[in-house]
Amino acid sequence: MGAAENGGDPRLKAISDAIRVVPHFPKPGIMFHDITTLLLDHKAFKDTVDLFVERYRDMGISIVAGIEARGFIFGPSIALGIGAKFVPLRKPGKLPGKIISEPYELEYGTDQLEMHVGAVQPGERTIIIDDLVATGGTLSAAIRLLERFQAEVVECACVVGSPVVQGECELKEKPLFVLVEPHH
Amino acid sequence: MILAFVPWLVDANNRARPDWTGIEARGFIFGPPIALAIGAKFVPLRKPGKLPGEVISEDYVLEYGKDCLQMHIGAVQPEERALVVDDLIATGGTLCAAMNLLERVGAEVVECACVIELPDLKGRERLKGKPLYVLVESH
Repeated sequence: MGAAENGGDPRLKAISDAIRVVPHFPKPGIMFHDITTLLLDHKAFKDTVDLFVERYRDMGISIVAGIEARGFIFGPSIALGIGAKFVPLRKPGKLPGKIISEPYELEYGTDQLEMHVGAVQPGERTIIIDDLVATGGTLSAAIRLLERFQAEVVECACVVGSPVVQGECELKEKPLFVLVEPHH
Repeated sequence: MILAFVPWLVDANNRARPDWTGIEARGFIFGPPIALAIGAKFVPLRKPGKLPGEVISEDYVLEYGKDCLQMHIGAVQPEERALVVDDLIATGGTLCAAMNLLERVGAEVVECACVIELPDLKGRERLKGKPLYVLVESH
């Protein structure tokens, strides 16, 4: 679901307006939603974090998993706000300890997402954070990583995304919560 | 920890809002919560090719080879007071590159802040005389 469906929280317009679109990045045809401009607007950035904290604070969430690297910008603040641990999910070779790895498909080829062994315990209630969801491929890999250690993925949360993920939606029927939809 | 991080001189008529710049990617874990807590903007400094808009780049030397750090043009205005945060300072090369980026656009780097310092690598000496604030040392 999208936050806009909740009767339109007045904070959402400023959040959406603060995100700029950079056409044809990283390649022609892609309208890239750049959240760095949101980070320059202290109130809108704070409201972004607050909206997620308000949603998740009473849901018994003990882990916020954030996807490298833009998920790291939002995830820790949300974790701190709801009293949860923060677990970074990273590209290969970045995490120094023992890891598990999950492949996922790119448009051309595959990539891997990794998580430290021991970061997550069975039964822990988890949310996954990224700045934006497109096809859902990265989020799906994140779900698989967490479920391999029997964590319970409660929801995926992104600042930007279509509430109904287009293309190969593989979110394993996990709910997806987005604050704002992509600009058109 | 967060509120004690940096003391500000705040002019009642003209609040000097600091920027908090964080270095990809572990700097992104600590920088934003601190920026939010002190009312500052957060500016990510990234490896090449990640920032979508117009950027300035700063090359720096690694133990073997070189690397490059980038910042969006327009993120920081001249005379803005800036802090640079990373999880760890080792040789200081990355922090020095970050400081150079900020100073090239006319910002004033007030301090660098890291969770961990490896003091044996003397990174503190590469910060062009700017102060360094760390929470823990590791030898």
